[in-house]
Amino acid sequence: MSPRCRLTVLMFLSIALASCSPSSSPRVEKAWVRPAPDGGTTAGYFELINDSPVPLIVTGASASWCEAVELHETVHDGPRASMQPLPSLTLAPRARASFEPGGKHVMLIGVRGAVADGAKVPIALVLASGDTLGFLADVHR
Amino acid sequence: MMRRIALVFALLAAGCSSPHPQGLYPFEPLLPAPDVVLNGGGGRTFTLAEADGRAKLVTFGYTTCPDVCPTTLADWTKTKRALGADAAKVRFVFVSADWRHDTPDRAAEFARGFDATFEGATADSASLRRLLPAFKAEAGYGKPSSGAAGGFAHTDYIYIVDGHGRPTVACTFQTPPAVLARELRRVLAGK
Repeated sequence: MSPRCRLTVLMFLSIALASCSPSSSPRVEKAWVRPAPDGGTTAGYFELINDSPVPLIVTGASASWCEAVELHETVHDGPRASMQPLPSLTLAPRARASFEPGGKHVMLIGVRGAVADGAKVPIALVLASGDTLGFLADVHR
Repeated sequence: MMRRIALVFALLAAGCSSPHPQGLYPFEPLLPAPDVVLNGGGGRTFTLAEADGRAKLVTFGYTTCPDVCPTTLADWTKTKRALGADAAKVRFVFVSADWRHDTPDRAAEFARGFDATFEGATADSASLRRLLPAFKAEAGYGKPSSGAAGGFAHTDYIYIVDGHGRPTVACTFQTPPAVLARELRRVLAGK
């Protein structure tokens, strides 16, 4: 490959990589919620990704279709499971956290109207910066 | 205070033998479950000791549980699929130990929300005090916390009761459905 050709390939690769590079803002992926009947309680799960160069501090969550929303973590002490409130979560720069069954989750209390399989529901994480990080979660089992 | 922690039962240490691979704990010796009456939906009653040849998959929880109990029952739907025709030989039973808040109908509705054949039931506190230790399980109200979490803690294991009404294997939370199906088939075969 000629030097000129090599340069062209390198330039093309840099442009391609720049356009594919992840956002530097925090983001949520793979969000989902289990179905719940009207008035019921359910949980939200997702991957929280902090691509920014500064720590991300989550202090709460909100969802207008619920009476209350709390960050929780299921704690397993041997065979005993209990839920503990999660007052805040700090995610280091370039780190990610999994909210998943049996672990951290957004507890969605007092669902207003049934949340059915196949729907999408909005949830927002409240950040210490004062911003909110909104996302849509798929409803499924 | 003692009354407040109403349902804390002695657990686990005694009886369960060492874990088998994949978090399975066989019961030794095999003893019939207590003849405790469970109240299902629509006024129906039954016991875990019923020996009709069908195995039972059992867990103890509460209907406002947002995480562990729904995860377990969702796993049961996959277990049922993995069982295929053998699913007819298995009863899937969710027992609410939240005797203060859950009603038989609410427990039944919670279980049916995952599969129309799943059974949900409750029992009174005295009955639960008899039933849970036989499974080396516990459930109880701890310190009240904010929201609906309510400070309720419970054993997150899944239990297989054999066709003679005997707790046979305790399986840890999130035991893969394929493993549950395999264990159920093994218990149904009397192995």
